[in-house]
Amino acid sequence: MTYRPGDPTRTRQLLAALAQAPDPQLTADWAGQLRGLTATIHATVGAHADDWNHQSATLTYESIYHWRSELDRLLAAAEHHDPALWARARTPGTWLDALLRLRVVLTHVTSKAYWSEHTTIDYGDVEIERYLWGAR
Amino acid sequence: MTATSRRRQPAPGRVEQTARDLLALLGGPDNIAEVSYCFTKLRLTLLDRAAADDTGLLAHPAVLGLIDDTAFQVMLGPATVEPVAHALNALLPP
Repeated sequence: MTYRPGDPTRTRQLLAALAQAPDPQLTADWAGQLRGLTATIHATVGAHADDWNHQSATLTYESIYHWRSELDRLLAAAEHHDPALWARARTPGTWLDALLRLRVVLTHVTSKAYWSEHTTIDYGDVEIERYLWGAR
Repeated sequence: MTATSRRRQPAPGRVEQTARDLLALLGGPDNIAEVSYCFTKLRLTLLDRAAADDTGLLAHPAVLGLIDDTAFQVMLGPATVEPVAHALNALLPP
């Protein structure tokens, strides 16, 4: 996959790809809440993911911080209530792996906006490549 | 309302506010024996580890993560850890 840093459309596509819902057979409360959260994220970032002309949309700090906090809470609940699932699903390519990677990205984006007191975040400033794999 | 820039430059007053926030979440000034830092993390010697509010620390927007190893470490990032460490030290009793 070729990723061009600063490409807002590509960033939206990657964020939408990381917002994976838990497996459908999981019925726990945390799983249901995670489905709702990922649907919200998907709807927000995916709305314009395929619209190459839509370059001006931004994320808000409030929404990013909320998503990060909810991912923290719900993933902690998953680890606590179903450690066997956590161990089994915490491997590359699973929905859990995608959400853990999404949390890393959102944590860094939240921090960057916090330090600069910015209330909006350009998709082009979401440095997914750097946050997921490091500046190497 | 502005968009983010690529460099994480702390806004004026943000460092001091963050140090005050972290001080409270770490159990107050009397709970911190020593503050040092490495490239990205605060390294803390706490008198009572249980007095630190891990959930509150992880919920703070400046905190990237926690490491509870030989030292209790708070990940902040390379551009902000040094000024926060200095601000935190300034809040501790002499």
